[in-house]
Amino acid sequence: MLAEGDVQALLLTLKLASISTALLLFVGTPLAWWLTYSSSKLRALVSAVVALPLVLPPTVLGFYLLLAMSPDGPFGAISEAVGAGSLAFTFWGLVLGSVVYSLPFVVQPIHNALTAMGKWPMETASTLGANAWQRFYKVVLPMCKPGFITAAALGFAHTVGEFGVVLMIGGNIPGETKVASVQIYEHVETLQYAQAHSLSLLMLLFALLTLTLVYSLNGSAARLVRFSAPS
Amino acid sequence: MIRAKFHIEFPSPSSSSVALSVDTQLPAKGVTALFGRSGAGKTTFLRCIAGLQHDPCGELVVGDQLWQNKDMSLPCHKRNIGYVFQEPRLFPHLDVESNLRFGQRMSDKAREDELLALLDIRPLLDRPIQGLSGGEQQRVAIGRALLTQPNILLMDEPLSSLDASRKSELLPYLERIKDEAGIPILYVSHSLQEVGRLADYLVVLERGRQVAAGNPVAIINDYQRRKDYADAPSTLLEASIESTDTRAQLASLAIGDKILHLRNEQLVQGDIARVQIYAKDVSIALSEATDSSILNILPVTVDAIVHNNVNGTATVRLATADDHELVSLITMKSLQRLQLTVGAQVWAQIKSVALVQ
Repeated sequence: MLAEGDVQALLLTLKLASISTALLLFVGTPLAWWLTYSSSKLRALVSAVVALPLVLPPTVLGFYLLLAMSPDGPFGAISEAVGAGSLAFTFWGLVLGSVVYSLPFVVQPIHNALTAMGKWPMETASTLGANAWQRFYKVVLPMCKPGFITAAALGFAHTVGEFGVVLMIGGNIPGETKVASVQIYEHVETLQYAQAHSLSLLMLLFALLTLTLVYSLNGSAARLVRFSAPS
Repeated sequence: MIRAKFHIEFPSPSSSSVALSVDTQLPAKGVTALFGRSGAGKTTFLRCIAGLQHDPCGELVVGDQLWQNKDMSLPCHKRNIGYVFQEPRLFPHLDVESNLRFGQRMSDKAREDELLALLDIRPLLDRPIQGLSGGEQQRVAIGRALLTQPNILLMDEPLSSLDASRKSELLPYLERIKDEAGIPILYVSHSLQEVGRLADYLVVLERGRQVAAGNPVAIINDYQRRKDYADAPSTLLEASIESTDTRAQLASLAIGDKILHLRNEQLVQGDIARVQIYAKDVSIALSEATDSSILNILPVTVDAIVHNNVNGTATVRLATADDHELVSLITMKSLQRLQLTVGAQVWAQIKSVALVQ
């Protein structure tokens, strides 16, 4: 039922989403930490920047990312300097775009989990001799596990569902930047409705499954937090 | 000796008041109580000692270890403390056993067993922490703190989140810890009763400043007098056990050349006992009654008479020859009948003496 190009597009989508999600957790965790605990005046501004992809048309975001990836732009200058060439219309350009585009979906659940947890578990662990790293992996990570899983699931799903940004900065090079959503668009453009249908249904089921998992997880997370919060 | 100097101001610029401003020395043995009403800076003081709150100009020396001065400050996890918070603060993702083991440094199995037995924790080990009562959770929290083998135990109102019956259930455990742990304990409390039972040394904080420090008995009696605790006035007495009578289950406290009998089987000769005597249990006679069932009769001088206008009673302050204080609650009618005046020599008849320490 799936054409060879469809399978290739799906595999590329999974690769993009997996790599992006790993990077998103890596970047999003310290960012969420900072947003939760910092008293800096820049907090509101940084929160707004992180949330921008929620309100901006993906084309606007994609357009600026494209400019930034041009040899004169900041990302472009860096990638040229390290000898990686231009990022525009490459897989790694898409990874960068996905990280920016899905950042709020990762930062927000982690931020919420940290806020709900409060400071007491870390303080208590400190008094029991745990250093910063031990506090993170022995207390924060297990207590905020639902938040991290939600963040990973939403980041992954949102990257899979990406379209506008991909089209702006990636185009549709098969095996390099042609992800599932772009493939569907192309099927529709060429009036291959049956092909578009099977791929779309797959995407729909995947999104439904992910969100159901997230919502059922958040129920149990709320119970955990309710029990543990000191009055 | 613990030398501590901290100055912390409230973050809000509008309120100029000080959260904590102390420069003091505390004994590095026994229980030192930090007493004061809420907002007096007790918890802030404890958090500064723990390193949970930072005063850049603070100074702290515990025993022979420098923990903080203007050049350095050990982070909390490097200070060898045990900290028991108001709430038990057990980690919800761990069971009782893992909570206990979190941060464990005690490797001596015999001592560990002793500690778990002391706190009666063994029967709780395989229960989920969600199924423990508040008092049981707090016992696990105390065990968890002590298993890190701290040099000092900091306790921030460990009973305050419990209801009255749980409080009296946990208090004996605290007394055992005090006797067995062998490390200094800093104990924050706003309850005179707890302080009277546990403290060997007392620091009173008001608006962030130390207003009194020293022997708890004198300070508590003084505090009760000034604040006039009209609901249940009492005084504390501290004296050594002169003799015990096991058959009658009585111990005798030496008060001057007189004896105060105390129902007790555990005390031995030479122990220092602290007792609490409530004003309602003290009556006054002009002569020494020899035909009364009351055992404890002491000669005293009337120190002060306070009329409690609302309920027709008077609070009479009495002093023994060697300056122990007693307080007696009598009716206005009795006061007039006995024609008591300040300086009068009378006899205090004490119906009941409660051992608090």
